[in-house]
Order: sequence, then structure tokens, then C-alpha cells
Amino acid sequence: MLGPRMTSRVSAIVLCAAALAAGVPPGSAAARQDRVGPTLAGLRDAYLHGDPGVIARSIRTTRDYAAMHRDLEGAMARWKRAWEPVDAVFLLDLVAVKFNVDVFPSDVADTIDLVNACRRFVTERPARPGLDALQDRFEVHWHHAMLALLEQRLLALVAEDYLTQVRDRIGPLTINATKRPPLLDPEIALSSAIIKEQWTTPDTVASLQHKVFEPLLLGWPLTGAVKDAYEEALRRFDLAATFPDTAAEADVRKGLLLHRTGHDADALAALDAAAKNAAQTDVLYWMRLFRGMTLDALNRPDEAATAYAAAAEAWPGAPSPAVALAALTLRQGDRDAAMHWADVVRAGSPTASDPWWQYWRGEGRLFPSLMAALRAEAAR
Amino acid sequence: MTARTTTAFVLAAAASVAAQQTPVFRTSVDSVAVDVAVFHQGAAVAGLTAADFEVRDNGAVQTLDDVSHETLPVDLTLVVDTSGSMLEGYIRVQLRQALTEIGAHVRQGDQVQLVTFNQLVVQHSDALAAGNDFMKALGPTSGMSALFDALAVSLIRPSRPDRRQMAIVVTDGQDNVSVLGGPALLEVARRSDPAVFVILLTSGGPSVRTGVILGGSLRLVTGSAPAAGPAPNRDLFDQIAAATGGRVAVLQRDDDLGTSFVQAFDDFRTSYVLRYTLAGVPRPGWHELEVKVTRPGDFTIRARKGYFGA
Repeated sequence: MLGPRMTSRVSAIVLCAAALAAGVPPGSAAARQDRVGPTLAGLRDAYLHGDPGVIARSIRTTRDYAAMHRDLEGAMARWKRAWEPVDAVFLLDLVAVKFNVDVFPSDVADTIDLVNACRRFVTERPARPGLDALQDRFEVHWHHAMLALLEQRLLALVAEDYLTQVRDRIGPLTINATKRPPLLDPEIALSSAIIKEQWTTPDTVASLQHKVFEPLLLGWPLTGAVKDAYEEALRRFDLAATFPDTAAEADVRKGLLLHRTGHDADALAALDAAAKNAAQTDVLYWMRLFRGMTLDALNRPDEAATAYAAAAEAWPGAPSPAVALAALTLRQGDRDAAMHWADVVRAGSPTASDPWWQYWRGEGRLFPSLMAALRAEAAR
Repeated sequence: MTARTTTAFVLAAAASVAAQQTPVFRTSVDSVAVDVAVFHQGAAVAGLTAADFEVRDNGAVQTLDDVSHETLPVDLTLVVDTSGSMLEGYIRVQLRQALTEIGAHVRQGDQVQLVTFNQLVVQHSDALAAGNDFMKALGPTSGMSALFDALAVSLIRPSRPDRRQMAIVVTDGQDNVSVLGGPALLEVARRSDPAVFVILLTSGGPSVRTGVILGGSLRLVTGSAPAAGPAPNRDLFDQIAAATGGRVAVLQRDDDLGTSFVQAFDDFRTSYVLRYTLAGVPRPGWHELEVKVTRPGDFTIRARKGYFGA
């Protein structure tokens, strides 16, 4: 569906979109057609012809979001009459681009409104869950990608709301569910746990969310909400751990959650369980890093140092294990070792990466690959 | 003190709310050096001698071998937050100006290190050298903030009994990606040599309209942004400054950074260095320090609260 075929709708609209994509200067004939309606349709056509990047290039030029929303509502009403997965993927790409170009909270709120509209478009597809396996699979992947995007943006409140609204389709997120509904997927189960986990970090994630939700968070009863979130997150991690594909990451995240709440013995057990299944490099790295933190808290510094060193091996160049080792060895009185590790951090590569930096963004780290898979699926 | 014969410690003293100074403290085996800043009615007091001080180390009065003033070279580490929450224009303009002003105040033998950080910690070599183009390499303010990690690894430096060490940190106080927590950072600061001066930039920028999502249907609610509040982690930085003999200064975003840099640097340089040979208490473990001025008068003293001996 994303192939090179041209449709009969190729028109001045498409040319307008192409001109925008090419950066036609304001005042030109094409730019004068920079109205959201034609642009949106043009974007979709260009997208259909295999150019996902056209959205990013054009949205930076066309920022009349209110008009875009009006046009989107109309377009989605038309597309529903001939529902195709590619339209849903187009909309998700559109949301992702808008999140990336929006700076001000009011714009983010506007984009979240678009999230809601897109969810309706996908969940109101003609086939009901359980009747069309291909569409079911597509919808599962689509919801997972959207949740990953919201996790990436640290919009836990919005993501939780999203989950609530699709829960009737994906099924109850309880470990006692005797029969899993057709749309409950391991990755969605894991996402739901991560979203709760994101609510438990007032010193980290909440401080970022503070920018978006500033007025409310100032008066938010965070303590009670955080406590509830801890407990619910643990339950959801237990559910995610029942799926082989997500067991390792669920146990790793559960381990950190337990460590952060002072349950270090239980944390170590969860991390040790994860060690048996951790295959992904980033999950393996987290497991080792968190084992170091937990063992350190259990006053087992030598084992903690070994765990940190193992984390450094799992992801060479990541600064976090070296930082932890610098602090640990200094506390042990080994200043030479502390200076070595501090030097390692200060002399690190400017292009160094560290999975720890992505930890709180949940499965947002997977969003590009999820989108690529969705596009491929829609194009079949 | 560590097993190494050249172990050094830097100590500094607590003091008044107004102008302050950093006392530093180093040891080589049994020799200990403490930086002490003395103020009277907010002004630094000069001309004091060994007879004017009393130093207690874990409660035991120590005999001072030497008191020096403004003679030792200074190792200054500037730690600058370049994460996304910092205003890029402010940092670029003010940092350039501040480095120029600091450059005019360093003396021969002084050394200045510049460390910038967002989630990544980067040490810039010879930031004050003529023609250094590191500002171009600085890049835009962006990314998350590993403030605690960056400060911790910036404080862990070789101890040199013949030099004094201080760090000046410029940040809005926000940390969201460090692997170290606040208590771990405080512990590093207590066990490291530099006196830590913290310049906290408050969020005094213009308010923005904010949208919020609530309820079960992604409803939009709007509200006005709150007035600027205290900088995040203010209590932690107060503890670190007090423990190391530094101080915390709070700047509005349009305040002059260079003046604050120079003031902290001058405060530190003009403090006294008291030396004594440890006596009457065992070396290993935490050493609580107490410094007094015996001369009559109402003096405010800043000095590191203690050090670890091995």
C-alpha cells in the first residue's frame, strides 16, 4: 500500500505538498496554497507514494494546527468508509512528527487531542476484534507503537488514559485473567507496567512532566498517587513477566522498582530471575547496572563493583557504570581507583550512548523500529 | 587519610550568609591543611596568625605548624549545566563573559578546568587558553541533566598538598538522569578535596500557557504557569556547600554570571590555610573539624566540616 503506484488523486494538491516538502519559499504560487486541507491530503498522497519523511519536512512549514485538526476530522470520516491500515500508520507518523516539532505545552496538548482522534480511527475499524486476525495483529502493533511514543514523551498520564480507552479491546490488565482477549499482547502488557512505573519517579520523570503539566502537578497529591502507582506497576510487571518475550525486561524493571522502594532482597531476586532470560543488550546492561545498585544498598560493595564492571562490558562506553564505580571506590577509600573511573567518565566520547538514559522513556526507544514494522505491514 | 603517602584533603568552613570564603584542607600522612575563611560584618578579615586560631580535630586541640594566606595556587573546576532546561542564550553569552573575567583573575600557577554536561559529561581542555574555540564546540543546550553524576566525577581529583582545590557549579538544579542519588553525591563531596560553590539559576523566565490532560477522555484543561519557585535540590546543594566549605548563590536568569564566578574565586583565594600535624586522635575514619578565632570579636568562619582519614 505504500508502494510506488500513483493514484488518480495526484493533483495540484500533491504538487503543493511536494513543493512544501522541497522548501518552496513563501510567496511562491505553491506556498500560497499552504492551506492545511490541501496540504494534509497532499501529505497523505506523498506518504502513500513511499515518502514518510514528507510529513516532517512539511509540518515544520505548515503550523496551522487548528485548521489541520478540522481537516483531519473530515479526512478521517472519509477514510473510515474505506478503512485501510496505511491511513492509520500515516496518522501515527503525523502524531510523532508533531510531538517532535511542538515545543510549547499548548502545542503538546493540541497533539494529544490528535492522539485521541487517531485512537478512535483505529479502534473503529470495520472488523471487530477476534474476527480478522490480520487486522487484530495490525491494531495490536499500532497501539503498542502509540504507547511507546507516549512513553518516549514521558506522558504517563496521557498514556494511562489511552490504555483506559483501549482496555475494552485489549482486555483487563490483571494477572488473574483466565482467558486473554485477542488484543492483549506481551508488549502492551509491558507498556502498561512501564507507564505506571513512570508515575513513580517524582525526582526524575515527574520533573520532566512538570513542564507539561506544571499547574496541576504543583498541587497534585503525588505521594498517594505514587504509592498507588508503585503497587499497580508491580502487579503489571508480574503480568508482563508471564510472557516469555517480555519476562526479562519486566523482571529488570520490577527489580529497580523494588530497589528504589528499599526492598533490596526482593529486588535482587527479581534481577537474578531476569539474568536467566536477558538477551537484549540494553536489558542485560540494565540488569547488571541495577544489580550493582542493589548489591551496593545491601552493603556488598565488592559484588556491586563486579556487577558495575559487568554492565560496562555489556555496553562499552556507557558512563553510568563508571560513575557508580567512581563513587563506590571512593567510599571504599581507594582514591586511585576512584580517580581512574572519574577520568574514564570525563574523557568519554562525545557520542557515547547509555541505555540508562533511555530507561525512563520505556519502550519509546523501540519506536523507530515499531514504525518501520507498521509501515511494512500496512504496505503488504 | 589513605595508605598513600601523598593523600590530601581539602576542608572548608561554614559561615555567614553574606560574603564567604572557602577553607581547604590537605594532609600528607599526618599533616593536615584546612582552608578557613574569616569574616567580620561580612568583610574578609586579613592579618590573622596562628595564635588567632584554634583547631579541634575530633575534639582534640591541634597545634598549628603554619598559617598561610593567598600563597598557594588554586585548581578551579568550572562545572556548567548545558542540558535542555538551561537557557541557551544565557549560557552562551554569560559563560563566554564569565570565562573572560575568570581568566583575568587567575594567577600564574593556577589551573582552570571546564566541565560541561547534559546527560553526557565533557571535560574541555584548557578552556581559558588564548584562541580556544571550545564555545563553538559547546553545541546548543539540549538533552537531559546528569547533574549529580557530573559534579561527582568533577570533584574526584588528585590530591596535591601544595595546591588548593575548588569547584564552581552553574546549574538550575534539575537532575533527571544521574545514576547517583543525592546522598551518594553528598558522600562523594565529603570525601573529595574541592570546596564546592554552587550558582543556582532560578526559573525566572516568562510564564507560558500550559495545557493539561485529565479524566477518562483526554480532555484538555488550560491553566497559567506558576510563579518561579525555589531551585530543585536546593537543600542538597546547601548541604554540599556546608560540608565542603563552599556556598550557594542564587541568580536570576538575567543576572551576571561572571561577577558570581569571580566573587566565588576571590572568596576562596583569600581564605587562610591552616596546617597542623595530626595529634591526639587516630587517623582512620571520619574527622570532625572545629575551627575558632580566638581573637576577641564577632567573627564568622567558613571551613569544611570534616574529612576522612585512612
